[in-house]
This record gives sequence, structure tokens and C-alpha cells, in this order.
Amino acid sequence: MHSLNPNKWIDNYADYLYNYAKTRVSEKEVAEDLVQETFLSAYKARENYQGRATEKTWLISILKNKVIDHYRKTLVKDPEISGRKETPISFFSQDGAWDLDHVGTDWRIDASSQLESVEFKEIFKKCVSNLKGKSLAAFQLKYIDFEESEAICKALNISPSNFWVIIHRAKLNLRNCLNKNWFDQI
Amino acid sequence: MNMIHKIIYPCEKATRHLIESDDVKLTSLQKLRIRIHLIICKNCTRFNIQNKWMDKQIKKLSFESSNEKMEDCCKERIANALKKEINS
Repeated sequence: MHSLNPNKWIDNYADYLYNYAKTRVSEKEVAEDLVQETFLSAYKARENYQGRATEKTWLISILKNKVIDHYRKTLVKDPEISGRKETPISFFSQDGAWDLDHVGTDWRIDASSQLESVEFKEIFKKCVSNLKGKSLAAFQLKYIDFEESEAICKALNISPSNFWVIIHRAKLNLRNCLNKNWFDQI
Repeated sequence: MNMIHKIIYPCEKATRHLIESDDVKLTSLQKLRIRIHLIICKNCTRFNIQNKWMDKQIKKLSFESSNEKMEDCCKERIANALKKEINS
């Protein structure tokens, strides 16, 4: 059985939790606040800790819920962030065929050495963080946290079909961003 | 809707189903319609390859931890807040 040692939390887990939060919310200040809230909530809920999971796992599960709450609050508070005021790129024409500007080009994805480069990884991460509002939230939860679609729909209060529309758009935007910033440049 | 789209999916729908198919069990008819679409549509075939490749990259990146450290002043602020909570 594991035990809690709140006096050591900052030294042992602050950087780890900060990295976890920063990957998901992008903004430094928000990530810091989420870590602080996590420690405070964990301390208040210490009676509920049963010692089955390690301290680290327990703290991460609290932070994970904080991140989801953050997504939810941001989406409700700001209609612009929720995606309603976005002017989306038209990837398809009205009859559902590809828009000629967005059919894309073949990627040289066999050139693995370049794709392993720090520069490419930075561009990839930037393209992910360019996603906005629900797209970013749904994408992060599905592909970074490996959450079940059903749980994501519940957390973000969206229907399953809306979820797939959002993920579809997110993937198209990500591909478009990679095309523009990497594959069209090499 | 074009006549042709009654038989095969338009690209928008085909690409959406390609993404969904990782998680959602498609019917045999849906699978067949996608297969036919991919035979005749090189743009969606390209998208399919690139989408699968993006999935692999995302998975790789999600397991790569960054080594960013929280600033000391922030750690101090959080430590003080926690100490206050512990002593209250």
C-alpha cells in the first residue's frame, strides 16, 4: 500500500504535473494554476486516498479531471473559443468533393530522418495547438489521453455525431497545417 | 446529391468514415462503399495514408515527455498555498 506525503509533493511532482498540464492546455499560466488546484484539491481529498495507486498516479487522475473541467469552462464562457465564431476552411465543395485547393500533395513520409527532427516535432506540436476550442479539447482527449469517445462526448457535452464532425475537421486542419508548414517546404 | 453519390460516398463522407473506422464499427455496406470510393479516388487514398501516418506520429509524440520545468517562483507560490492549506 502507498501513502501520501504532501510536504514532498512540490519537489517530487510539480514539474511532472506541469508538463502534463502544459501539453494539454498550451498556456503556461493556465498549466500552473491547474497544478496548484490539483495539489490543493488532493490535500483536501486526502481522506479518500486508499493507497492502491501511487501518489503520482493519484495526483495525475485529479489533474486530468481539472483539465477536463478547464476545457468545459472555457468552452461555455467564450463562444468564440467554442468554435461558433470560427470561419472554417472549406475543405470540400458543396457536393462533398475535395476543394481543389485542399486535395493536398503526396508526403515524403519515407524520409524518416527528417521527420524525427526536433524541427518537425515542433511544427507538429504547433499544428496541434493551432486547433481551437472544442476541436482542441476533443482531439487532446482522444489522441493524447486515449479517452473513450463516449467519455469525451459526455465531458464536452456533445453528441457522438458532432464529435466525429469535430475530429474530422481537426484532422483536416492538422493535415493542412502540416502541408503548409512542412511538406510543402521540403 | 449527385447520382453517383447514391452509390459511392462523396469525399467528405468517405474521409469522415475513414477516421471513424478506428473507433466505430462500420456496417458491411459502409465498408464496401468506402472500398469502392478508395479504388476510384486518389485524393481520398492519399488522405487515408496521411491520416494513418498522423495517428502514428500523434501516438509517438504523446509518449514523448517534454522536460520543461516549472519556474521556481511558481513552485514557491504553490508551496505557500499548500502550506497554508496544511496549517489551516
